[in-house]
Amino acid sequence: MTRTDNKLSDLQVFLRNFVIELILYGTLVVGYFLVVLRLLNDYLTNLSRTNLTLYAFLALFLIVAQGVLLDGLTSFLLSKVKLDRLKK
Amino acid sequence: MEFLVAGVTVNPLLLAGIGFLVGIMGGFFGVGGGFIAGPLMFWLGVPMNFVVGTDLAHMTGKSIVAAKRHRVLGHVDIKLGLIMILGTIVGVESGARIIEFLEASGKVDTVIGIAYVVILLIISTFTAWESLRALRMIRTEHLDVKEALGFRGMTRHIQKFRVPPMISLPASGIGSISVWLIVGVGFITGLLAGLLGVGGGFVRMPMLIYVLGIPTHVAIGTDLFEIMISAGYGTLTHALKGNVDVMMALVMHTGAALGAQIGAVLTRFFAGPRIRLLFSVLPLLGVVMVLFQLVGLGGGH
Repeated sequence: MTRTDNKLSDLQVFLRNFVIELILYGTLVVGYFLVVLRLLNDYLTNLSRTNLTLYAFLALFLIVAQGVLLDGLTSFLLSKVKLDRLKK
Repeated sequence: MEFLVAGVTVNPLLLAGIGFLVGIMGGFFGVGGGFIAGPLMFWLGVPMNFVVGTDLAHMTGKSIVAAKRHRVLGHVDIKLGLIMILGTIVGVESGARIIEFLEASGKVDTVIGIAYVVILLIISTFTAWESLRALRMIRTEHLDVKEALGFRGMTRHIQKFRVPPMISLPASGIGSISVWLIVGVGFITGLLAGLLGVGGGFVRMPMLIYVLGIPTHVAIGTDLFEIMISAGYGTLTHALKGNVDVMMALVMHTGAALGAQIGAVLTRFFAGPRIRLLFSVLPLLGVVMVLFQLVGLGGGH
């Protein structure tokens, strides 16, 4: 097998695994949109109008927490569908 | 979905898509992607002050994870990073106050829009020039002496600035350098972050390498460390000024987290100066979007 063939085969595996990853991640994120973000929306809007200082610190906390959480989730999914290891 | 803090209605899937796109660019090209996310958000109709604050907030989530990874690899010069923070924070705060002033005078969209156009044109030109130079070097298989001396000469010339206090940076292999040079680099990039809502890596990276003489791998790690600080502080100060819709940032970040991982994997298939040359076209798309929105032909409502 030539180097180009290997690269093509890797690309096919990558694309297949990418679709699986996208479906899994998409399902989880849509659930997250529906539950967590909808619940938070009204509370955060009210907080931004009544206590801007608390809103600012909470905003920073939420984005950092989500950063750590989603990095863990995507790394987990990538390892499960072997997107980070391209050998069959 | 209506984002009540910013007072705009935007499809959350489009926002997650923007996050995904800039996430891929981050993983692929090693840039934060704020200069593309900003014009796209503006094009969707998000007011410019919220574009700046919210873009910084979504970037904070991404950069913390990336900086942690580089810290583990030993690619962060902590001493350099901590000194640069002084200039970065003053720069971010100055930028945020300028936004506040422009918002009060009703000129924020126009002034920041034009600033975006200028900066994006500079990035595009620099990236194209750098890629073409690398392609030429590959073809001739040796470094163009004149050009190499040009950069080294510039670094040497700048480092003649020896106003005390002088410090050494052992982790970057620098014997002696003025603290003011480091703080100055931090200030310029912090100002861009506070003013445009970008991480500033596209300016900080060349300055760290060519102005301060920092090795490339340390420059990348330290740059991410600075983005984390400038984006984090920028989020806080812009949120206190009412310029952050955190819901919007959270939605964008869901796409960015996946995009960053995919972008990193994609570098195995596509890499090199030709791809970077292609990348130089992207800022031009940002220019078109900002100009369309400024003349009232954007996609926003």
